[in-house]
Amino acid sequence: MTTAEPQRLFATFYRDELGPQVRRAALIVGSAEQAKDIVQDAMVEVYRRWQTLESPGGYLNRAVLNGCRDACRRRSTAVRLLHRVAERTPRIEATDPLDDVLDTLPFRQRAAIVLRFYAGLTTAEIAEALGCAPGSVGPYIDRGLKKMKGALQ
Amino acid sequence: MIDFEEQVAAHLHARVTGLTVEPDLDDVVARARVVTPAGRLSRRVVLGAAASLVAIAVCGLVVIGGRTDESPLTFGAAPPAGAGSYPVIDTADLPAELRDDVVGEWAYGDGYESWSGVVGTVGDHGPADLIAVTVYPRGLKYGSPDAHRGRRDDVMEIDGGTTTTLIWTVDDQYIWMVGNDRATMYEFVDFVEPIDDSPERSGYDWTAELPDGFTELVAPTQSTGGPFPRVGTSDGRLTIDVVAEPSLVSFAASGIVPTRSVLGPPPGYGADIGDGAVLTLALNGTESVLISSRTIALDDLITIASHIRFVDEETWRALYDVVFECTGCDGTLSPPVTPPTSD
Repeated sequence: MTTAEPQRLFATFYRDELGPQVRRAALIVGSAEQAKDIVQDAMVEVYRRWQTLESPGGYLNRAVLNGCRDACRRRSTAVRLLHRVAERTPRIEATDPLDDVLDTLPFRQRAAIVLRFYAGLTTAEIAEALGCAPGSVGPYIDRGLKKMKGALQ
Repeated sequence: MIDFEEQVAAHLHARVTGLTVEPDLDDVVARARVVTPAGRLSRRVVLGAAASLVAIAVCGLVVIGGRTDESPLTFGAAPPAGAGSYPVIDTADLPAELRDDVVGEWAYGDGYESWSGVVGTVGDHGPADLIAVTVYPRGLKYGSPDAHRGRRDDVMEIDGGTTTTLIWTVDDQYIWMVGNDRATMYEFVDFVEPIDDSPERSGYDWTAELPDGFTELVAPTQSTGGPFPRVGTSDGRLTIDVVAEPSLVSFAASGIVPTRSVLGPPPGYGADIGDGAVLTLALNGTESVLISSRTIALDDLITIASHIRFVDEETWRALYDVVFECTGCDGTLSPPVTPPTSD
């Protein structure tokens, strides 16, 4: 394979994955701009390892989720401690009570719900992305849905 | 639930339908060639981190009333209960790895004039992703600290499974109970499965003591009653209750198991499997459990708990999600009529 070949393959991968990854990350972190940064950062890591990764898609999923987790942690700390700072980050528009409820879920529950119901990932794929056992995915989703439903009633 | 799942799915898709993304492959390639750590950070991340650090520093001062290194609060200097004071976690001084995910959901008043809270994560240290802390006025402490061990009604119930077992006396006014919480059955299984309880490892085949037809079953069953799983700290170890299949209730009730050794209540069989881990086949009333213990994260629990400060109600409400308040009372703090009993 020539040098150009992996670059071409990565370019295709990048083009195919960028939009879906940004949208799912935006749902998780609640910020489109932040999601773009997270995915772009993750793409850099994928590119660095492109020729050694057996599953670039899986690696990208994990990298994006890790980025989302870090972002949520930073924001969580800020939100808890100083609401004013948290509001500096533009949020994707919340137009539905579901948005507010989703945002209140713990990270793993929120991520699992987005990956399942938005991205359509399988349980195994979600588990890989979240770095948890497959058996944990179901409870994350169930508990998240239960909280969402309860909050809306 | 199916309808609701469809509603959620439709909503998620609708929420980001209009989100457009401009590809910038050149940026990826250029940044990938930069090997310095700073080069890996986007400008937004750097600015965000800086803002967060400022926020944490500022808020640390706000939360604890202007505390500085020159005037540290005395640990445990909690104001009296009922004086309009509420607990917060002073995350400013927490180590970074513990600071993350401090969610701070506090519940005030459970009939015993206490605060209960889910205040932090134990992360990679164990299966429980959150830590429960209950702050009790000292005056409501009954008997020895051990009397509270494992009392499920002493802590807030979340998702049906909770155990708080570390009793930590703070000062003359308060005792703090710290334990792991919110471990799901699956997280519990994930943690227990890798534990090597083989005779080769432990030098003691405790499973040989099981009657014919009984096998270790990591996954809890409902047959022994009560919420599962139970995970908690005990004497600096994480204890996990594991049931056997079929239920050891009948095993216990039949009186087959003699008291072989006692590793604290309840009596049972014990085997030290090294690395601070102990397996105990224990009988506890009508329940029979295998307790797997290993040393984890007690210091982390204490570190987090030691950063509990007290603030006024307004600050408290601004900082935390109050999950419930003073159930069964009118807001007037009063001692319980009946002291809790140990079990």
